Amino acid sequence: MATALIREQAQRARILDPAAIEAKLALNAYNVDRQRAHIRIIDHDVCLQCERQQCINCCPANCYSPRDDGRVLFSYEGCVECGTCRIVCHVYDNIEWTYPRGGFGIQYRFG
Amino acid sequence: MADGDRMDAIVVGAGPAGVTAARELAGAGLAVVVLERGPYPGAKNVWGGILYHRPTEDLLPGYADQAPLERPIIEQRYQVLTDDALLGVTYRSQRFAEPPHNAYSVLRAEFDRWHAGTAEAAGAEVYPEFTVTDLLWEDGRVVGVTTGDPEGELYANVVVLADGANSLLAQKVGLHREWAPLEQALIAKELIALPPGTIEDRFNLPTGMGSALEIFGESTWGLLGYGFIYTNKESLSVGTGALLHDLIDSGRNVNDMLDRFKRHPAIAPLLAGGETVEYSAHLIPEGGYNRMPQVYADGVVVVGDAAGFVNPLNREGVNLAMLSGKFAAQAIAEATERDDFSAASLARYRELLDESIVIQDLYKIRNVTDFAHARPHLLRDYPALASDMAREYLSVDGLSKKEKQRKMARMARGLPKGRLLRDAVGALRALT
Repeated sequence: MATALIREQAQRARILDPAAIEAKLALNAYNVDRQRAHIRIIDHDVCLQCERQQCINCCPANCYSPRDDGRVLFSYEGCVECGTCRIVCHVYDNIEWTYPRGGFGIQYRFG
Repeated sequence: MADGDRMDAIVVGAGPAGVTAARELAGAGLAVVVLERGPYPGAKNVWGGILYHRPTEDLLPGYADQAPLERPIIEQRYQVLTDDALLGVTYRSQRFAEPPHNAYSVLRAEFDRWHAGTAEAAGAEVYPEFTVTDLLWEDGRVVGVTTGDPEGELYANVVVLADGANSLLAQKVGLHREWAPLEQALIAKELIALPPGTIEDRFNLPTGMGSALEIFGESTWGLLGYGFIYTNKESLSVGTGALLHDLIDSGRNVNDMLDRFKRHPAIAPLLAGGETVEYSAHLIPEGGYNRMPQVYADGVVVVGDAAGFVNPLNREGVNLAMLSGKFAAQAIAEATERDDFSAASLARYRELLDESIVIQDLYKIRNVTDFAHARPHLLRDYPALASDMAREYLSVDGLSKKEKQRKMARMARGLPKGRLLRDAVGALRALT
């Protein structure tokens, strides 16, 4: 079981430099909606069936991270609302994706 | 107001397509509101950064004197990167430096806010901070929108979906299924601040003028996409992107790609000392003509990115978006005269699109993405070969010219048999 888990995790993609993304996101203006997460993983157990978990490495804002138990952790605070994860998860359709409430979320000053 | 609380039209999204539709509708005397989910128009919008003058001038005569523009673009550089080298061609014309300019670099947050003001000046109402969560229906027809709470319901004869690359609403209408990874490209971009004089020195530009660079090959690890650098007044827009399908397939992250591009020895000196002030990422719908959704239904039309009106080959999107907004407004104005907002009546929108460059250009390039996608070697093997041959040609190392020629011919023969011919024929077919 342990070996299977390690092998499975090795197949997971990894962002080469997640810290670089975090540093860039810190430059952006956000109005984070503390009341409501606009994106959520519907069933965390479904992620266990997903071999490559491409949401993790495709997200340009590093919002998805691998959990030790093989599931995926999502945090919406740095989300740039691009929609990538929703399309990436087309096989399992396991991401509920909506826009933040009016006025919340990323606020580009330059775009 | 057309009828009590009912508007003539509601536009969802204050990007170039939505604002153009709203301005044209208001100009035709119709009651129109624009609902924008950001705190101001432009807050959610990203692009590479080039606005073409002529199509904008056609819609907004004299805009260049008022709109927040960065630099007139006087040259285009197409380049290819290998691990260690850069090859390229540049086209610079003095004609591009004189008004009317061909194109400008533009920052969307500023431009879109200004642009929304043109719709307001024409009589449209623009309301920021409203996220439309669903449409309202009656007998299978779209009759309005809702922001999710009972007080957030608004009715109209026609709803214009200008809600961008993701267009969740067009999916709710059933106009298209979820986008597939082959139909969207993901771009990451940084705005890098540099003093104007430094930009002009580094890009060999006269004061106030600008350059546009598109860079293929190793800028994207050879994936189908490109890196770009556009010069703004006091900053550079620097980005990379690739087809989402290829990013998934290769397990690459688009910001890793961007950082690797920025570190390339031929690119890094252009950016040195610059300070990143914003990081953005956005999808670009690149499905094109072959994967275009239905763009109208009973009581609803789809414009701009929401409909996939992007020409990735020629870096056109905003001009097509604006045109589609104009045609949508025209079709809605005609439908209002007929008092018929059925799909059959709004089909006029598609007719207008078909007669224009929006559909004609997208039809013309409909096979380009498939052509390039079927040939993953295009942006890997050819740049490497061209670089090897150029290095051989340029190195003075004691070999006779005849020996050099032979060596270069051997390099070219290293390609799989017949590939060059097949690719050339395929490219011709895809482009003509």
